[in-house]
Amino acid sequence: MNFAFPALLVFLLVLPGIILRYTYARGPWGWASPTSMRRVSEELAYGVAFALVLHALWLALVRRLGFAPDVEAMVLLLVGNFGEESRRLDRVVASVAEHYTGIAGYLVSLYAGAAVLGNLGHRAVRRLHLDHRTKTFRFDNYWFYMLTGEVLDFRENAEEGRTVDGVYCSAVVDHASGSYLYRGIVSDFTFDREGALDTIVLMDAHRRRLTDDRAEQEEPRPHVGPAEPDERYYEIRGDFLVLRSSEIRTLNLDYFAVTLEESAPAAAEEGAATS
Amino acid sequence: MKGRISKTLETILLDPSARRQLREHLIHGRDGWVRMNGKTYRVRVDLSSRVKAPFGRRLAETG
Repeated sequence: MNFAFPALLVFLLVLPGIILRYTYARGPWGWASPTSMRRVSEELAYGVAFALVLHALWLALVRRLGFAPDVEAMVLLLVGNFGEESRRLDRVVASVAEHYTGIAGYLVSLYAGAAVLGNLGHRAVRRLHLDHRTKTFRFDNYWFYMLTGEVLDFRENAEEGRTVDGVYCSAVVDHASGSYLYRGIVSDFTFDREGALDTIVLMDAHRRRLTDDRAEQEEPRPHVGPAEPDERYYEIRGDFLVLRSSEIRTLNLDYFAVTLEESAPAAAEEGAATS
Repeated sequence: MKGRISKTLETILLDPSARRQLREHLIHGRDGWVRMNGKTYRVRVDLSSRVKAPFGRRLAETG
């Protein structure tokens, strides 16, 4: 028996657990959903645990459907010990040859079932907001929750009537000519293959030199009222600005809400008149 | 696009004048109003004042 065969068999048997974990963590294609990719060693450990459960369930299911999987032959193949002069090898080979289509059907249906189960699990957690309600179901992707403002929807942060309409991002980026403060509304963001933040895409981006901070003794602007242009900033032309995470030194996020007012307050009317 | 941009915000961003008004409120981190097509929108920027930091340690590590 080839040395690599038991390793290949182990991989085929653990694969359903890995598929379940992957599809659960990845979520449906095209969904704006948190993905939580872990290290390969972690994924493997989860994969083995989930594969054991899935095999137990699937074996019970196929037995109920009238099939009789030859578990003993499978164990012998895994162990690779067929007794003196490989006496059991003939029986195992005969069993595999006889039930080849059944084995293939078992594995393929299990892989498909694991993918569907993982996908449904992700959908259920997101649709029912289980990840907002409890940390147990929270995906290991803090950037997603922070950059979408969903962090405010968490049960521990929940406040009556509070909604987020947008996320305002401020990032310090170093250039050869000095440090700049880039600001804009978060439109999109991407992750690299390891699940770390890769880029942040901003709308209505503007920037200023970091050295143009307002002096402490300067008069603060009125708390609420008409907005006046801040001459320190200039708009960056273009629809979107892409900031690479590796070039961002510090990052600040503001969550804001925009609501239509039935009656215009006096200060707003005054602002409209002066602008 | 994964960012959270509501329909109301999207409407404001499509109007250059309203977008400029909103930008000034956001730059100063203060509440205010945006006037657009005879309608008044209230901007509130202090939503996260009571938010606990669920990932405080990790975010600090990222700098």
